[in-house]
Amino acid sequence: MKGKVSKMRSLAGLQAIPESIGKAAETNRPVHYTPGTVGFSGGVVGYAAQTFAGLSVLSHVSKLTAKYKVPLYVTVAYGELIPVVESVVRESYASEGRADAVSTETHVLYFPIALSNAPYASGVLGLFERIKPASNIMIGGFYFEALAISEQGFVQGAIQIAGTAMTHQIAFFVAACDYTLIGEEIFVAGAIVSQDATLLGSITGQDLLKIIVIAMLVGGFILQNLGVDFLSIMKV
Amino acid sequence: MSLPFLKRDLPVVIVCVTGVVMIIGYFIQAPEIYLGDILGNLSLIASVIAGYATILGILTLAIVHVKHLSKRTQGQWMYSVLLLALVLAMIGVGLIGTLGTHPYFMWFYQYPLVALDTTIYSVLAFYIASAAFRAFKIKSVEGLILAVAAVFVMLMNAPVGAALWGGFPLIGRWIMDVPNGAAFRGFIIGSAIGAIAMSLRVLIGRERGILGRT
Repeated sequence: MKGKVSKMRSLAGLQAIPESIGKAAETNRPVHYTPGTVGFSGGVVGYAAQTFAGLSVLSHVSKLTAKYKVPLYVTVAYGELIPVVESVVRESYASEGRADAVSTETHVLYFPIALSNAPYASGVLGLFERIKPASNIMIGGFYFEALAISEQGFVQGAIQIAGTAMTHQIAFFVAACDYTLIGEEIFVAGAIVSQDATLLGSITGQDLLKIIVIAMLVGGFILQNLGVDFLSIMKV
Repeated sequence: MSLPFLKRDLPVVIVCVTGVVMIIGYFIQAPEIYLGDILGNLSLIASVIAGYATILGILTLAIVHVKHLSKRTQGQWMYSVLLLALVLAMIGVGLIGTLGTHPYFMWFYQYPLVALDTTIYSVLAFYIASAAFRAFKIKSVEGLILAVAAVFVMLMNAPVGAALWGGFPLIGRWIMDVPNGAAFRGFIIGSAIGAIAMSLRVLIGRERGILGRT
């Protein structure tokens, strides 16, 4: 496998991102992006990884908004995300030679979470009423606000691309959005858009690990039914 | 130290070192590798940074809304006044006496905040109805399967289902436990492996997108 990059299947949701931003440019309406509402320190392992995945795709999205000169609104629910998001957006605009447009064309808005995610949700719903986005991209970890925001995006006529690894929110995204990245797809999205050979190689490694896990599941099932205590062996 | 090192490499070094220490502390439980104090301190540092980040967030929020107010942004400035007034009021009553225990603070918390919070949450019922209306339109074989499964699961949860026919709860439970359970497990295994791979890429500094780099 050395020196060879595996072929990746295309993800419809990722392919739709340039199209949705193009629509925003044509209709002179902005793009809304959110890297989720779980921040960097969620209570469950994998929450921070979802936020990282969201930031990785934001890098791609902000390059496209810089290229097409489309206003970009990024909403965050945690204060610690503000400098990170600003840095990602600034670097992306600089890489497109439009560093001067960051202060006029991009907006990083903070809608803090209080008792629940309701303040964030209501902030984004209000924002949608005012800016009427042509494209709504949501990649990261979400709670109940996933449905509220995506339904409001539907009402505003936005092309909606969403992705999460939160099991209970996937169904809402599938129902309300035009394109959905399901579970692990969000973790590979950044690698696919970057086309970086090392990152693409890590996806191949991911798939190999999946094959090993599936083989262990099937093998374990067979061994357990043959009277070999496979579960006890695995606990050692 | 050069500026490129500080900007480009130092964040990656910090993430890598702290990440590796946390992983070692979590997975290796040997007395000779005791990292309890370091792990505790790292968690404390993370909490302190998150606390300061919240202050940064509030300041950012205030700056955005003060700008709206000073420009009299159409359709926005009056909400900015309300937001700034309420933020100041909440901070003000929170600072009276012992932090966050004064009856005024509790009133602000209990009546406006909890009520508004539950209101937004309850609106979800209407969003679910409109999303379900679109999702359950039968346009394909998959749509038909989805709609039929949904009917059984809804009749499993609603008391009227069991009253109509005893098979509804049984079939609904089977759909939830077997096909749905199998799909969920596959989803969780894939997501967990994806999250591990993503975290490793971040730890070794290969995931440059999160720092805005190509």
